[in-house]
Amino acid sequence: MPPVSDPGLSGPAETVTLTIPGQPRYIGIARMFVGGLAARLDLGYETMDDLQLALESVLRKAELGEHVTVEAHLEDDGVSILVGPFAHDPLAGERHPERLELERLLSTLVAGSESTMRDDGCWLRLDVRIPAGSGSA
Amino acid sequence: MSLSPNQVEETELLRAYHERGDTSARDKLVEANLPLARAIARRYAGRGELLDDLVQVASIGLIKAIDRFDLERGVFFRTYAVPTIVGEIKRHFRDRAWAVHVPRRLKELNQMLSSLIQDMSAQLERSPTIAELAEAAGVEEEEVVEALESSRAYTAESLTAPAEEGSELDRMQTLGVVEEAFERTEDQQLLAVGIQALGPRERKIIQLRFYEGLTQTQIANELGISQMHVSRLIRRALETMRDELERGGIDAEER
Repeated sequence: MPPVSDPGLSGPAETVTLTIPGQPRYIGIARMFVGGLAARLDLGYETMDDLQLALESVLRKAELGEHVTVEAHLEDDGVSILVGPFAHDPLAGERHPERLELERLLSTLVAGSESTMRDDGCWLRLDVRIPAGSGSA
Repeated sequence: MSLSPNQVEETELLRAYHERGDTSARDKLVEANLPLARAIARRYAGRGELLDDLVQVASIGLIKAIDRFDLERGVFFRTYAVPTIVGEIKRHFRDRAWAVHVPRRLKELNQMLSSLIQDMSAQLERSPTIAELAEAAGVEEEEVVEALESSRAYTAESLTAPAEEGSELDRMQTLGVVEEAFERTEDQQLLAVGIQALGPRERKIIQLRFYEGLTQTQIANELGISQMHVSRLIRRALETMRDELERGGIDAEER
């Protein structure tokens, strides 16, 4: 797989892409995709499970279009997952500090999350850092 | 009916709890009868569920037996407790039936992985990787990923379904009776929309994970359950909360 460059990331990265129909019944495939990445990146079980839950939470909260694409950008020290496009920013909206919102979920489950706009709509980026040595958590 | 000294003490404790609301008497009854619950749970081990999960279910059955025991019936507590505990375990198996057909090898591998994750996490002081799990289980990495995913195929019975036929209490309310201790540790934040729809144990787990930042492993250790079980409970709790929020949204729209 040739290295690609993405303006949203710090440097060259290897990218693995999955596109699924925008329907909840395909979310399991996205989880398996993360499972495959975890095996490839030597992520610990707990990190993998957290990332799966983060991605699943985004897909359940967001307004899904006809298709959803999950792009995994693999780097030496981690992985950034871009998921989209969405018609609306899943992180936007009125803040309810008393609620367990997507933002709080993501801040617990992954190292960073951010929404970015592209021509085709809103994408959400989930970052996972891998500490030196195998088994990240 | 001639009673042994233990049975006399048990009856006194039941009386103290039911007639005077003495919760310390209930705690003593639970403690004294936990070996019984464990023994019953062991009978159902090896049928696809972890023993520690079964012990927990049996303990819930025990607490229900204590709460529902009728002193006027004139039967020994154990005569009532054993079928109540067994019933709780059977209900657990029924609720946990596989929703879709999952090959036996994956079910078995899933059970093996659950134990391996627990053992290896303690040994390595971190979560094992997929490669390490595959090596320990003697299977390919893809099979590990597949087996872990297969556990998501569990049937999730609605927590708002009646706890039992004819009961006005739903499952969440009965769980609330069981684990009152968790209620006392609640943070005010847990009055949040959606979270109030959870049972006390799920609420506690959500609090520990998302408000106090504990990892799954730390929660598993604190509650004495497996890490995979914590993962399942987190997902189930989030699903319940999502349903509750959606229902709230619909209600608001209808108003």
